[in-house]
Amino acid sequence: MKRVPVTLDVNGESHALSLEPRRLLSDALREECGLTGVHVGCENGVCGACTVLIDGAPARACLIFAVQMQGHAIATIESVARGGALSPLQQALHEEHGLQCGFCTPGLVMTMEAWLKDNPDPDETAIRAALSGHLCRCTGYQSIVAAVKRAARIARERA
Amino acid sequence: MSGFSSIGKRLLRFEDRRFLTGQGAYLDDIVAPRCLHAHFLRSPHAHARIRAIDAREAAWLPGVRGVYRGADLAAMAKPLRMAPPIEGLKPTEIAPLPVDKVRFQGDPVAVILADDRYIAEDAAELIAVDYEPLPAVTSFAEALSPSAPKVDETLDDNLVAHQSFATPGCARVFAEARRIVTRRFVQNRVTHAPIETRGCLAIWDEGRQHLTFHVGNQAPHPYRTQLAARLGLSESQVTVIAPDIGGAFGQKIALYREELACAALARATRRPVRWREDRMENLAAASHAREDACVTRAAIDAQGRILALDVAIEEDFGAYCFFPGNYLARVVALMTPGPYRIRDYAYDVRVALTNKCGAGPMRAPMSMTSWIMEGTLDAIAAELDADPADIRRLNMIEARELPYVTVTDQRLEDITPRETLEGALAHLDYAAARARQRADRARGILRGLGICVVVESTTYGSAFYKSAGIPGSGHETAVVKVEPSGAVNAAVGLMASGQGYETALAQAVAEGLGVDPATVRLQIGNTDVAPYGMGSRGARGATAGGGVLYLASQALGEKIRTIAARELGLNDIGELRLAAGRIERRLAGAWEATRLSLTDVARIAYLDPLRLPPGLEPGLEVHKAYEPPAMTFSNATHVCEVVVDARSGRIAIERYIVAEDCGTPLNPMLVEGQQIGAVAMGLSGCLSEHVVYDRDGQNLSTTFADYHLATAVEIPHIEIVPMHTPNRSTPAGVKGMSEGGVMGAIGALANAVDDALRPLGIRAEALPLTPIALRRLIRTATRRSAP
Amino acid sequence: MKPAPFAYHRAADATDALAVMAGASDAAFLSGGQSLAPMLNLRMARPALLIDLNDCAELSGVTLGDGGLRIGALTRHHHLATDATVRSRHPLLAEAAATIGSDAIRRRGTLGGSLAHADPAAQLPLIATLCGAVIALQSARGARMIEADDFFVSALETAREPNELVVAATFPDLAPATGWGLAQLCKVAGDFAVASAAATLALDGAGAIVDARLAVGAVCDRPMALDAAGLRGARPGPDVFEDFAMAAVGALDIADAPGIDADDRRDLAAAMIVEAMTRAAARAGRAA
Ligand SMILES: Cc1cc2nc3c(=O)[nH]c(=O)nc-3n(C[C@H](O)[C@H](O)[C@H](O)COP(=O)(O)OP(=O)(O)OC[C@H]3O[C@@H](n4cnc5c(N)ncnc54)[C@H](O)[C@@H]3O)c2cc1C
Ligand code: FES
Ligand code: FES
Repeated sequence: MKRVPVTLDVNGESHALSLEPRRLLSDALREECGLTGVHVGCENGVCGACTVLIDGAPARACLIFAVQMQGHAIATIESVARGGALSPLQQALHEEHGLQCGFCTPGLVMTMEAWLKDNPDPDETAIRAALSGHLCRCTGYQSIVAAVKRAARIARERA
Repeated sequence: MSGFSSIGKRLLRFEDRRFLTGQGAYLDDIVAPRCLHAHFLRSPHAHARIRAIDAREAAWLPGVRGVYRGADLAAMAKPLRMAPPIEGLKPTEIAPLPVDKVRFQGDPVAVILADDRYIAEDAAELIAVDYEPLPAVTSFAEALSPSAPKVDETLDDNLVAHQSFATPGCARVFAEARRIVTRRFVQNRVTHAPIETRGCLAIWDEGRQHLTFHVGNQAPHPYRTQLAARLGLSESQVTVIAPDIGGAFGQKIALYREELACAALARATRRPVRWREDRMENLAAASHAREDACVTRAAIDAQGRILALDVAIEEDFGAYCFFPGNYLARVVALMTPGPYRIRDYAYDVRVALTNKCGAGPMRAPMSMTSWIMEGTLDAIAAELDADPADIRRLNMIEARELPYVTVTDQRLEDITPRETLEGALAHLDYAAARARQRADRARGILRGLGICVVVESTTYGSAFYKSAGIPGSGHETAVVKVEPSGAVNAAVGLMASGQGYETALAQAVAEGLGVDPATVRLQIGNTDVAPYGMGSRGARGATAGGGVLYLASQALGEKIRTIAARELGLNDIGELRLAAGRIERRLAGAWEATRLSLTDVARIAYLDPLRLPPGLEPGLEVHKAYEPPAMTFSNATHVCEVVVDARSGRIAIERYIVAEDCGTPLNPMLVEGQQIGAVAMGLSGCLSEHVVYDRDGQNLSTTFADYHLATAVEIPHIEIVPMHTPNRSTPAGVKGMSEGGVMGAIGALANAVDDALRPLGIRAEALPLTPIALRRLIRTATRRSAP
Repeated sequence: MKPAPFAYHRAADATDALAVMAGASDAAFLSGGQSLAPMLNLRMARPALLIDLNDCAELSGVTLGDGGLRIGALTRHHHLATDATVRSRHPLLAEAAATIGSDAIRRRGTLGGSLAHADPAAQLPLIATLCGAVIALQSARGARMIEADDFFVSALETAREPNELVVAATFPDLAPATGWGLAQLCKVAGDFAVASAAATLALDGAGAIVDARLAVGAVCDRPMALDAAGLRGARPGPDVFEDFAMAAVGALDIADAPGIDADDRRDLAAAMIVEAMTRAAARAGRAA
C-alpha cells in the first residue's frame, strides 16, 4: 500500500516521515522516532503500556494510526523528566518502589501525569479507579497507589 | 539481623531511573540493521494432520524473504528430547516445528521472514494449509478415556506421568479411621501474562561462525547449553544476552520453538532475525499453568488430629512437555503436608496430555499446595464444628520439634509457622472478626474468613532435585572483581525480570566486601560475561545468588585485607576491615581509618604485584560456586476477610493480611514488593483469570479483553506484618522468597469465600471465583432450601 | 496483530466525509478508533478506506434543545462524563459515560462511534435505549431520525446504512425529581459488563411509582427496554424489584454464550435490574 507523508510533532521535535496509513502510532514512535519508552503490551487498548499524551490528553498509541497525528502534539515518557530531573510522580514511584520490571511504568506515568493535573487531591479509591486502565503484573499496584498519593502531596506543597 | 551494614537496608533501586524515563532497553528496543521479522502462522485447529502447505503466493509478496515449514526447520535444528530417567515419566520429543500434525490451536506451522511485521502478517494470510481435523482431547478425563485420540502418537496413551507413594501404615490408618474428611479442589488454567511478551533477536556472524542471541530469558546459561546443542553448535559459538525483561514469572525459562526457529533462520539466511510475540500468541501459545484438580482425604480423630492424609492430583499438561510432565504436580505432592504433623501419607499424581497449549512452571509452580492442605483443615473444622485456627494449632508442629523431617523427607528448619499464624490472627483481631461474622450471618450477610499457612519451598538445592527425581542442579556461581580503579564488578548466573537484583545483589556484594552498594555494578544476563549459573527460578535469587555473591565478596575482602595488612606491616588481618571503600583498623576496640583505601590496594594488586604478600596472585578477582541446602523455607500466614454479595456474586475483600518470615531480607523494600506482587498474582488468578477452551479446543481467551488480569480496583490493600528470622545454614541468613504470596493468596481467598458460603451449605471448590461461578453455586443452594 | 492495508482520508468536515463515502465502495468512518482499531489490529475488520472524522468540529458538542440534550457524534466519552450541562441535565448519561473503559479510552472514544459500533454491553446504547434517544443519521442523499430502540438491531448491527453518518443523538431530559440508577457487573474494572441495567423511577407524593423505565444490557444481542408499566402504583422495595426483575428477564430472549449460559445471564441481569432500581429509588425525589 502506498506510503503517505506525515510529520509527527513529538516531545517538541518534528519528524517528517513517509508511512503506510496502517502504521500504528506506537510502531512509528518506537521505530521511526526511536522513542522506545513507548511500550507495546497488547495492541488492543487494554494494558495501557503504550499510553502517550496527544494534545495533553492520554491516549493509547496502539489504537491510533500515525497518519492521524499530523498537526497534533504528542508527548512520550522521554519528555517527562525535564532537564534530567525526575517529575514528582517519577520521583515518588522511585521512592515508593512503584515499579519492578518497569514495563508498565511509562504508560501509567503518562496517564497519571495528566490525571493529577485535574485531580490534585485524590483519595485512594479515585486513584485506583484511574489506574485501572493500566495492567501491572509485578507490583500488585499498592506501591503505585502510594506513589500517586505522594506525588499529589508534593505537587500541592509546591503549588 | 543486626551487624550488617548493607544487607537489610531499604535502599532505593539503582535500576529505577532508566525505567522511569523510558530508557530501559528491553528486547524489542534493540536495533539490528538489515533485520528480518519472523511471524508464525498458527494452527486454527486444536488437533489436525497437516496434509500440505502451499506458500507460493506468500513467498511472492514484495518484502517477503522466505517461508519455512516444519520440514525445513527439521533440517536446521534438532528436536527437544525430554527423557530424564524418572520412574513413571514417559519420554517425549518435540520437533523444531510441527511437521505432520498440530496439537493445539496456536501450534506454529510455518514461519515467514519479511522486511516488517505488517508484511509478514499479510503473507501469513496467503499461505494455504490443507488440514485434516482430528478429534480433540480437551480435558483430563477425556484424555484418559480408553477411546481418546492420542495427543502424542509416540506414547501408548495420554498419561504422560504417573507417580505414587504411600507410607506403609497409611492404608491401615484409613481402614481403621472413625472419621474421614474428603475435599475436592479444582484449579483454573491460567497463564503468566508478563506485560512484555516473549521475543528474540538472533544475529549470526558468518565470519566468526558465531550466534549472538538476545532473549529475555531467566536462565541464560542453561538456555545457551540447549540452544547450542539444538543447533549443532558448540557452546563457544553461542552468546546469549538477556536485556531488561518486562516480567517473566516462569514463562521465560524454556527454549521455545519460535526462538529456536529464529536462531536457525538467522544462520541460514545470514541476516539478523527478530520475533516479537504479540499478545494473542502469548495468551494462546506461550505457556499455560495450574490446571489441576485434587482430592484430599484426611483420616482424623475426634479432636481433629490428622492421622493420615491421602492426596490425588490430576494435571492437564497440554500438548507438549517443555518441562518434564511430573515437574510441577510432584512438588505439590511432596510439599502438601507443610508444617503439620502428618505421619501417614499417600499421594497419587497423574499428568495427562491434552490438545491445549503446553503447561510450565509459573510463579509458585506448587501454588495449589497450601490451598489443598489448608482447605482440608477447614473441612475438618467444619466437620467437627471447630474453629479453623484451633484445628491448625492442634496439628501444627511446635518450635521444639524443629528440625522436623516431613513424611516426604523434607527437612523443615528455621521456620516459624506458629508465630506467623498467631501474628496474622492478632493483627486481624481474629475474635472480633469472628464476632462480625456471627452478627452478619444473623442478618443474612455472607462474611467469610480465610486462613492460609504457607511453607514456601525456596532455593531448591541440587540435593532436592536428586532426591525428588527431577532433573536439575541448584548450585550457583559468581565472580566478584575489584578493578584497578577500585570499581567493583560482580557477575552471577541469574537474570532479573523485575526483582531488583542490581540493588539487592549489590547489597550482598557490598556487605561481603565492605563498600558502598552504589559502587557495585552487577553484570548479569550475558553468558560471555557472567559465569555459568542456573538462572532465576524457584525463589533462589537471594539464597543461591545473593549467597554466592556474599561468599565470593567475603573471600575477596580477605585478599584485600591480606594485602593491606602487609602494607601496614601487620600480621593479623582480623584487626582490619573495609568500610565504605576505606581500610580501617581496630585499635582498642574502636575502628579507625588507615592511610589505605580500596583503590590503593587495587592499584598494588594489579599494577605493582611485586609488593604483594608471597603466594598471592596479582589482581583482585574471586570466582566462587556455592551449593545451597537441599531446600530452604520461608513461611507465612495469610488471612483474608471477604463479604460475598449473595445477589450478584461479587466478592469484596475487606482485609488482607500477610504475616511472613522470609529470613534476612537483603532489602526489605524489595521483599515487600515481591510479597505484595505475589499476593496480587494469586488473587488475580482466583478472581478473574481463566484460560478457557471450548469443547473443540478453541481458546476463547486470547486477548486481554477476554483474559482478565485484575486491576488496581480488584486488588485490595495488602497489610504486611514482617516477622523475619534468619536461616542459620545459609550465608547471611537468607531464605529466599517471592512465590509464597501466590500460594497464600489462593488459599486464603478460596478459604474465605468457602467460609462465607458455609451457611448456605455449599463449597467453593473450583477456581476462578467469578460472580458467575458464585451465583451458580448460590442459586443451587437457595433452590435446594426453597420451601 | 497488525492491520491489513487501507487508504486514509482525513475529512475536513461532515460534508467532505459524506462525499468521500458516497464515492467509495468499502469505506468506514473512523472516530475515536477505540473499537475500530482493535478490530483492525486483529484483522476482524478490513475496510479499504478509512474516513477520519476527527477534524469534523461541527460533529462535536452538547446543545440544549426543546426535546433534550443534543449531543454531537464526535463528542468524547470524557466530555459526556465531565461536562457541567450533561451532569446536571442528564446525570445518568454522564455517569454511564464515566464508567466506560478507562481514562485514555474515554478521552478518545465518541458517542457516535459507540452507537454505530453497537456492542450489546456498551453503556451509551443502553442509556439511549432506556431514554428513547433519537439518533440523527445523514448520508449524501439525505438525513433521517431514528429512535434508539429501532436503531439497534443485533450485536454490532444497526439500522444505519454503511454510507450513513451518525451525526448526533438527542437524549430527552429526565423529568424533574426522577431517580436514576445504573448497575453493571464487570469481570474487572473497565471491562465490558457481563450484565447491566439502567433505571429511572418517578414517585408520587405518597412514594408510589408513577413512572418507571428499565433497560438491560449485555445479556441479549442488543440493549433491551423492559415493559415497566406494571410497576405503576407499586411502592419501591426489594421484593417489588426482585419480582419485577425475575418476570422481566423471563420474558427476554437470552441465549447461552461462551463461559456463561442463559440461566446465568438471566440471573445476573435480574440482579443488575434490582440494583439499578434500588439506586433509582434512593435518588427519586417525591413530587410535591
Ligand atoms: C480497553 C477498552 C475498553 C473499553 N471499554 C468499554 C466499555 O466498558 N464500554 C463501552 O461502551 N465501550 C468500551 N470501549 C469502546 C469505546 O467506548 C469506544 O470508544 C466506542 O465503542 C466506539 O467509539 P469510537 O469513537 O472509538 O468509534 P470507532 O472505533 O472509531 O468506530 C466504531 C465503529 O463505528 C463506526 N463509526 C464511528 N463513528 C461513526 C459515525 N459518526 N457514524 C457512523 N459510523 C461511525 C466505525 O466505522 C466503526 O465501525 C472500550 C474500548 C477499549 C479499547
Ligand atoms: S499496547 Fe496499547 S494498550 Fe496495550
Ligand atoms: S512493573 Fe512489571 S508490569 Fe508493572
